[in-house]
Amino acid sequence: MQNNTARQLIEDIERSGSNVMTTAAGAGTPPAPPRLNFNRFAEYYGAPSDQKWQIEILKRLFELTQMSPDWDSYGAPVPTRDASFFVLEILNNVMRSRTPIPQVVPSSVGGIQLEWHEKDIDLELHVTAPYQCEVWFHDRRSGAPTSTELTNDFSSLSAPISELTLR
Amino acid sequence: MVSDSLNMIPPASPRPADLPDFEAPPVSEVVLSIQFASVPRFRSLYVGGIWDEFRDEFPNVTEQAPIDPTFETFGASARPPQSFQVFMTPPMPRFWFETKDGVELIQIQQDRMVHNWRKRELSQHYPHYEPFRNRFASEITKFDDFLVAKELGSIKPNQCEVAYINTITIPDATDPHAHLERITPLWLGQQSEPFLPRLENATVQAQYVLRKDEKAFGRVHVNFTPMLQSSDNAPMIQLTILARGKPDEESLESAFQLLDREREIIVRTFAAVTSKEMHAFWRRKDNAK
Repeated sequence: MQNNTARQLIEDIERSGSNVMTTAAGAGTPPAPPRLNFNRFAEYYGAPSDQKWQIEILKRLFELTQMSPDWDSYGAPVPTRDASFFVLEILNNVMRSRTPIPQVVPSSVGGIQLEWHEKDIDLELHVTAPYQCEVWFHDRRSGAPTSTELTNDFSSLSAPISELTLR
Repeated sequence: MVSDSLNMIPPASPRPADLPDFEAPPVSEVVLSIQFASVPRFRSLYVGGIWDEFRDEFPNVTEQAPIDPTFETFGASARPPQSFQVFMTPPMPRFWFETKDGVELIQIQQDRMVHNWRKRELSQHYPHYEPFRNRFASEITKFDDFLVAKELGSIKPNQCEVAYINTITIPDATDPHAHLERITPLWLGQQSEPFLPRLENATVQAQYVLRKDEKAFGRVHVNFTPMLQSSDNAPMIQLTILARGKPDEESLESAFQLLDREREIIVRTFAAVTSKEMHAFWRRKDNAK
């Protein structure tokens, strides 16, 4: 198992921009190199890898898209495929190797909500459709809750995700 | 009868006078694509109905795997896009409607419509953006009208893409794989110390954020890739320039305004990332040489 984890670490470091889509499907994006702090090596070593969060989130999103309409008995639609892909796009951008994996829950309007409630932090991101998101953040150690609407710029998630990852 | 939605898409503006122009551009494929909020009720059983609108000109039909939704987002770390197709495959494939000669292609799936022009013979000339774009406007309007008429939904665009793919060789038959510096100023081909042997090939990949009023709305992606021509295995460089972004509004009018802007960005990008030597070879004819 340790060998596998070590191999994952090596793969994290060696990963290059090989995921290039072609023609109309789009072009690739160079990856940000992972930062390894040797003092945190042991903590990093036992933390969820990119592969782990991706597998867990994909499994959950797949479950959500397989639900039946009216899953809440109040007429809620099934979360859309668009919203699922947009959630993946956001997570692919903000998740780091040690970021806790969020809970993924359906919303009553056909959207998807991501929730982190740990380390005195409450962070919720509600994606109703591509480019239609609302983020709610409360750091119980430092301030009042804030709520922000987001479209295509997710820079305001950097600080909360950083706290969740490093605290 | 002209539909309401076609009335809402203004025709393409005349070509800007200062836009770079070439007598013999190396373009081999042009792609216009509009991605929209998925219309889950548009299933395979309706494809025959929409094909009826196009079958005279596009008689050949094939099925393909669907293209994943793609979104340009900003503000977080840039990472390579992942493919989640295996987990999130929709219940309907992508359908290709091709002309007899294979030059033109319409692609339709639940959340995207695409029109491709593909060079099949050396003597073929790109039919110019404006008429090509106006035909795409007519086609997507027919598709939208069909969805509305069948009460399946409507097209609400969320990403617009224009891509130009160019096949580049060097006029004096120099191997372009080993001399990318003659094709693009983005690659100098230099070394700090003379250690490495002759370059075999190089790939250049670059991307730039597109902004309007300081706000990011999309990206232009530039890729120089060494390839072999399928006709004779001769080495060539494939230059793909793709502009993709979010329209201001979820309307076809807004989507086509963005496609027009992206086409202009692509033409200016092409002139910016290719060398003066190649401009002369392609016979640049605008004043800004």
